Amino acid sequence: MTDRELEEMLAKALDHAAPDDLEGVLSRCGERRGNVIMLEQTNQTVNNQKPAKRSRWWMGLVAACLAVVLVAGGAAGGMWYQSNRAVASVISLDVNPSIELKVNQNERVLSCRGVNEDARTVLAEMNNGEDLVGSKLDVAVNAIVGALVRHGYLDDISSAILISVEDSNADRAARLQAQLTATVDGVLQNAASQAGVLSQVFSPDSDVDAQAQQYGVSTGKAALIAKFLDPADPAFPNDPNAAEKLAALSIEELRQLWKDGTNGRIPIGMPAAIEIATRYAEDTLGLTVTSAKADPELEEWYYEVELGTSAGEREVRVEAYTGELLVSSSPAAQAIALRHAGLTEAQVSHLFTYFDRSYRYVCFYADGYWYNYKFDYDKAEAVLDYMKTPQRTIYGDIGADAAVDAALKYAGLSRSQVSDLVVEQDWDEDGDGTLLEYEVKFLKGNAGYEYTVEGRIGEVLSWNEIPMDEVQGGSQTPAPQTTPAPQTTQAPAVTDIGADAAKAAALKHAGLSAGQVTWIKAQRDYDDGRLEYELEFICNNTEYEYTVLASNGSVLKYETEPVKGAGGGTQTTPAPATQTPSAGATADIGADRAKAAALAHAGLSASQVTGMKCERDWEDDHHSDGHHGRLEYEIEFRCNGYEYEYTIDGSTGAILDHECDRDD
Amino acid sequence: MLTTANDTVEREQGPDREHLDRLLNAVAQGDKDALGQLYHLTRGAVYAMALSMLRDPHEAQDVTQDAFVTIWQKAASYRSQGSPMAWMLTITRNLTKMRLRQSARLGELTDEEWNAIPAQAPGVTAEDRIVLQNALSRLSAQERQIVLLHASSGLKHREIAVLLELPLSTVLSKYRRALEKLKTQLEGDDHA
Repeated sequence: MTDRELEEMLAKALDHAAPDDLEGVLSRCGERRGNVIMLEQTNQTVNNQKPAKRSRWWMGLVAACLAVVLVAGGAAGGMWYQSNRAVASVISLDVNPSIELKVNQNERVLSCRGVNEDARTVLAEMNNGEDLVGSKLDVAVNAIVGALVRHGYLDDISSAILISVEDSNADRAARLQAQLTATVDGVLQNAASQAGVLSQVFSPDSDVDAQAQQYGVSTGKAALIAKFLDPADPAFPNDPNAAEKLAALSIEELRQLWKDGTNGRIPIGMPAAIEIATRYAEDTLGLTVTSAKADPELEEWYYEVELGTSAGEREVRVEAYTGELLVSSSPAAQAIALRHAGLTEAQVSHLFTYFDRSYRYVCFYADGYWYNYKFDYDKAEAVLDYMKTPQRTIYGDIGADAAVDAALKYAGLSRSQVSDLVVEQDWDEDGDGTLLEYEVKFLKGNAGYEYTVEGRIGEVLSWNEIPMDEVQGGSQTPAPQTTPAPQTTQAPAVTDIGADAAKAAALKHAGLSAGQVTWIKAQRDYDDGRLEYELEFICNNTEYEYTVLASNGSVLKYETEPVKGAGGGTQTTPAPATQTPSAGATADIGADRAKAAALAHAGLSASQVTGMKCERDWEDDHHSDGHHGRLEYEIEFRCNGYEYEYTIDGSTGAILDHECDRDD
Repeated sequence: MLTTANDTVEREQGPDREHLDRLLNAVAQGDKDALGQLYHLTRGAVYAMALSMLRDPHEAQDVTQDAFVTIWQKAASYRSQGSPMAWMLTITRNLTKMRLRQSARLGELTDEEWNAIPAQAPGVTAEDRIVLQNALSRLSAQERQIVLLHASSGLKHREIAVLLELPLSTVLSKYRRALEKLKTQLEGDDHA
């Protein structure tokens, strides 16, 4: 037997065994289950002026449902009797309380029943609904909605009431729907409630009745739930308890869910969200929760839970389907960080939060330490990493004395070993903003040194050996015993190296050759009592500005910027000799300065860290404007069990990216 | 055994999908004749889906009827892309799930209950009876679903994989194992 023969046998057997009752199918094909004609919301305006015309939106029901005229057929529609005692329509009002009203053809209430416990509480003041029997439907609805408002069920803009009219007479159902919607609307307007009003009409259905019975909800809510369990819906919930879970949701949640689509999943519900948020606030944040309220934001897939706590209001977001905490608010992250540090808000200063695309950081300062906590961007429930860095002062000015101390400590010298100490405060325009720096100059033996010290945290950013005459009051003294590796060597007391030599020094610094650049300016100038060369040239659409010390050709200052108006491919300046970009075409702060920038950012000194790695890298980004990439330094080091990674802009020293992880 | 190990060649069996597509669109317009044609072409597959999940021939018959009523009601929401058969079987599967939920009956049927299949349907031959009775009681739930759907619906293995939310590899291996089991049952061990 082949597979095909076997399959044909099976197919034939199934065909024979399958029911062949087209008649039976066709006899039911006029029938429409549920017969939901519309489910509409009226949105209330908040102002107290003359009631504005409410905008209505129609829920997008399957077109077929709208197109087909109701046929009250078969066994289903048997609620209509020619008697005043006969039930003509069943009206249900659902918020969380579910109240069911049965009325006769004259719209007199025959019975009023609280379907759930909440409803029975509301109806208690109306003699458990008995008081409403015999009254006109609109009067009864008016009374009930008023009671619902008084009980606080319709306070929020996020609350909603569903009016359902179950009636086999479509015309009467539509009329009641319009009438009741207007009644409820009026009550809510008067009560300044912002709740939404939804309404639906459907014909009696025994399946819906059974569901209502099973889950303890009104038939109106059961009819609404049935719409979520549409077998033709590709997002048919896979959950075997889908109906039960849907029944437990509020009307507002169902409304949002209907708009957004279930995607086959059912939200956890407001009580569960409140429970999760409360547990988090109490267990993780150590707060005492005094009140809690959940707002469903199902389009965004979360519940926003507002907690009243011992430390004020806290908002906690809970993922609507998984119950995961989405602690995105900074106060929550701050609270966790403080708790972790064992500090209270009053004990710390400079408490702030910042974030990048992936992480949220909480920083604060206390007792001589900087604390830096790292969290997931939108799930701040656990500290991913933290750093405690000793720091004498923060964001202040360490002062000139401290800057000198820092420089000398770095050089391994004491004050008595140096002479002609000069310290100058300097504001340096950096890519990262304005940096407070101290320039510390001194003589040690017959060498001059210049240290740049960060002015707020006291870290040495860079140092250079400089000519002795640059140190104010420089004098001839014996050579130092321990000398840091010299950066530049030069003959002493040269007054002017000349323009060509100055140009060559600038080009060398820029990594360019004379043939590649177009000179704009080469001017000799006195500044601060020093002879300098102001040099400007262009290469590859970049303008370079250099200040070179005339005495020795050292670069005092340089700047690069794109040539204005460049990018069209043609420009006023002659094309450079070579078009290929070279690493040297952009200014380079050098590895030392890049390292210093990273260390300064981390609040660490070079002596505190280990495993320092520094890699010079070209980051390609192909711009049309002739910029061919960016010089970057990738810097890594470790300190106190943490691994730091920095990406520093090679031309400006700006911190492009940084990360700090526990060093495993 | 006459088959080769790789004899899982996809082939068009069952109703032509373009024809089904046209019929479904006609049903959406309210064409009851089209519904009749659709019913005769696909009731075997719909029944197979229901039967393979419910294992109760009576309930499977009920679900089959419900499925066609639902198809009639929902045809307007069918979009002429993909597979009309898969769309109908999805409806059937969901209705069957609801039925299972309502009855909360997940127990296996006894042999007697399986035997009830042929007895309930007058058109069923002795051969049909043997195939369904001997074979289906021996297959696992998934094997049963895969084999019955492949035999009756004309769906390709990958479409069945999507419909049953199973990996294609699982569908292929279960299909093969199921066919081998069935052949062993039907032909006897001496052929193996």
